[in-house]
Amino acid sequence: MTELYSKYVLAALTAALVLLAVFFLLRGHDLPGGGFVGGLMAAAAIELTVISLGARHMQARIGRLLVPTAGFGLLLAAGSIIVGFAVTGTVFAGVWAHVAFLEIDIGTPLTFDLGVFLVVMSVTALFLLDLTLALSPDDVRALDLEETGRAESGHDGQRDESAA
Amino acid sequence: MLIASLAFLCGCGLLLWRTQPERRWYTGWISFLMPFAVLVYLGIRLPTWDELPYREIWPWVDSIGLRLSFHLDGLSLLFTLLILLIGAVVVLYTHYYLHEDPRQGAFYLYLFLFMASMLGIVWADNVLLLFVFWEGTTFTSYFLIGHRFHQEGSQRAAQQALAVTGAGGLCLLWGLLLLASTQNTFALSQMIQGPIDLADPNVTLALALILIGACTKSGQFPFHFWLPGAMAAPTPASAYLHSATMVKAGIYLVARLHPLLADHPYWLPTLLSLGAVTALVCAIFTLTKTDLKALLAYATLTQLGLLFVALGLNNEYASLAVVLGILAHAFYKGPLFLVVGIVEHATSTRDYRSIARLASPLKVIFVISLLTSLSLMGVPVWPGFVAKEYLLSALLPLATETGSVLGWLALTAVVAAGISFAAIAVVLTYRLFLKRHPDDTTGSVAVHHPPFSMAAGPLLLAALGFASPLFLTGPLGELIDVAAHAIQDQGGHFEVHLWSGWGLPVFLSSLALALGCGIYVLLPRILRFEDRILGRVPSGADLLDRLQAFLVYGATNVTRLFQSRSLSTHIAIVMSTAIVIVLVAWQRSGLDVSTLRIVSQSRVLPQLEIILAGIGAAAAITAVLARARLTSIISLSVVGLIVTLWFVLFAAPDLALTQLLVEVLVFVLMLIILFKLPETILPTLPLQAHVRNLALAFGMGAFGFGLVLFTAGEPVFRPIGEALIKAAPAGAHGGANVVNVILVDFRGFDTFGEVTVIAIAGIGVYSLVRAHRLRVRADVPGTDPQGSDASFTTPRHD
Repeated sequence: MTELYSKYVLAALTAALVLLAVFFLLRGHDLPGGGFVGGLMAAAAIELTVISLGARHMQARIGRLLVPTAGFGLLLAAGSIIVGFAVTGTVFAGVWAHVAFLEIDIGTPLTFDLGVFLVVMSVTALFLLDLTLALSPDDVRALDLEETGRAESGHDGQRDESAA
Repeated sequence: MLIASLAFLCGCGLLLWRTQPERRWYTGWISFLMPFAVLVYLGIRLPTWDELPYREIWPWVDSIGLRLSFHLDGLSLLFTLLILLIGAVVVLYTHYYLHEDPRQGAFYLYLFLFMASMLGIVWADNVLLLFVFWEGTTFTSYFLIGHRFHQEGSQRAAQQALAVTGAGGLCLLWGLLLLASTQNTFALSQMIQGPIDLADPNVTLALALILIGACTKSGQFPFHFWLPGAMAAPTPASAYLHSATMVKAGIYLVARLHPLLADHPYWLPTLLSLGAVTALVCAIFTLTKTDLKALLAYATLTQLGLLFVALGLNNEYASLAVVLGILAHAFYKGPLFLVVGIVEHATSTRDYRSIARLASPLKVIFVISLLTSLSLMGVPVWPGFVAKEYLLSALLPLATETGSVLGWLALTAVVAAGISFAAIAVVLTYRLFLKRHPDDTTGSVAVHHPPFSMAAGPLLLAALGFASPLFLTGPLGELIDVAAHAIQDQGGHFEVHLWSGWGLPVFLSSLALALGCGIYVLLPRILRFEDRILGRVPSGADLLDRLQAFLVYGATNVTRLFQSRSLSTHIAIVMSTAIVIVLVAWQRSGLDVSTLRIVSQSRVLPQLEIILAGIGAAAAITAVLARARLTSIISLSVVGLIVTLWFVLFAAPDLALTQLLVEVLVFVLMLIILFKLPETILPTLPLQAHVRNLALAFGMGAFGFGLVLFTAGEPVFRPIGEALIKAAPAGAHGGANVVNVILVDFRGFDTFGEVTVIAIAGIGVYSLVRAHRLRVRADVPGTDPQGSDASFTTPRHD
């Protein structure tokens, strides 16, 4: 279901969405936004590519990364808590550092939010991608093939293999 | 000093675990030296008799009153000696008993951890610490019983022991906490000194709970059944845990609390009757067993019953009878178990009916068996005899002078136990080692000779037991004295006499001895009787099995009820639960609905609100009534977008953003699903389903309406938002977006929990979609094509 226009619009739109997601994440502490909204936005960007490029294509490209990313996000959030505890002696206390040459402040609430961002993004993308794959018998077979190590990486399109 | 000993023993266990002890010939003796070294170390470092008790306190979790506080008095010292001495012998023996077992290292680990836990029990002064060690023995016992987990019955026995002693342990914790709160201290040594209000019902409850804990651990009737099952353990574990030490933990606990509770009207009679019933029942059961280990297990239960009887008496002989009973039993029953292990090792059977004339091939073993069996029998001046003498001397006044029924029952039990002990002692010596097998013409059996090191341990214990009377005037006498004083601080020095002269006790002992030898002749008939009658009575183990099966059955049905495969039922349960909870809370809060007011906080024209509400309502009605799925989904999205607009109107940009994104993603998801669904018209539902759905929908609607009214109307509670808004700039590094500051700073813990839940849900979806084994295949036999209820069926052990 790769449409011609979506191929052209895709690059610009996805990039814009990802930028918007990061933008929301970074300004979250002071203006509307934050890790949760940013994560959903990034998931929407991924879903856009899933719709236009096909689920199997995206599965081959990022399928393996989603669960590790969620785990990494969780670790990042936990790590932020531990850093706060190590520095101030109070769990969940925010610790901030000023990065002089960039003129910005970086703190544990921000890294915590980044963890939230990663978890929300990857899990939401996982839901959408896996459900898309699971609902189509051909694609489920693709999952099987991939897990047994015989997947064709970067295979475009999802309907050119006839059902066996 | 004490904590260092515990750490050393745990370290030894870990070392043996990682170094493949089964491959090294010297492991046995090295491991023997480990507990022995601790014994020597304690012997050198311990203060003199007069300076006992020795104390040691280390901080741990002070906030809940948990401290590593140790207290070593005479009673603890007695147990310490037994644990380390028998422990050393058992670990030496283990190496030869499990000589080709690749899991020998794991066995050693659990054995040493058990040793440390058991020492912890008798040393702990803090009741919480005592409980920790108590559970430590429960768990190590579980692993030791289940060591041969692939063998039939081994897992069942391990689980039953864990269930019974674990449940008892929880009762014990409850009882100890009750006692600690009435006595206002966690320290055992202070607790038992302080005055106690015996009329307090909490004390009675605590007494009952602690007794349950002690009875489960020490196998008192009706919890006795796990101990014979525990004989599935390798013999060293049986000898050590299930005869010499762990089963005495209950005795230790009762003895420890004896000074505090002896005056309670229920304490002594309960102990006496529990012990008497256990001893009587198990003495009879002992005679019906042909498996040597089962025989010894029931004899151990009988002895534990006798110790409870001794604890249930309150005179100057009673505490001596307890101490002597513990000592004598440990020194004859431990070696006897080890002998049985060697016999099994040599003949590959444990049924004494198929063993005969082992005396000529196994001379040393015969000597050990003879030395210990004479003590078991109660032949004069052997330790077993002395212990029984003192028990009878303590018991006789109660039976003959006051003529109480309990006293006579206990006396019967003691004599029955004596008869039973004498009978099995004959089995363990004459039957096994001397008697010629009826079918055997050659006169000897093919046996596998044990190495001398295997027999060295039991020989040492048997010799010590045999020689023990020699030390009665020396250190042993002192030890018995201080231990007896710890149980019951009465009067002056306790002296143990090997022979207390001709009297009723000696007469009763001799009577039991003679009757026991007579019963031995009748054993075959008893076995036939057992087959016909006793075999049909369900045992405690069967009852526990049935209880377990019943629990699983109940849990399966409850799970079926709440987790049916129908998604609509699932949602209905979740929704009605929410409604019911809020209704109950509302009822109990006594909140008057008429006080709730609708307060307009709108910053825009009211007409706009009305228009939005109208569109939302129309879209919702369309979603319900539409026949085509696509229409329904689009209408639902319209409702969601209206909600988003609402958030915009009320100046909640964060909520609006999130809502918008969620709506978009859900819409996409629904479309994906819709794309794959067959284009059939919605099925017609039966009337009752319609009624249920309507009721739920209206209930949920009223629920949501009420909640909004409650929160957005006149404030019933003071809103917490203002305080957070005020605190945000200062408390969170100048964060201006309070919503996000709350999420990542003030309520970071909540957020972390939510993120964890999201990640877990992700893993759930991942495994549902991708895991091979979770996909049910109709073509594979044995899988349930309806869905997987397989994990809920009763585990069977047949």
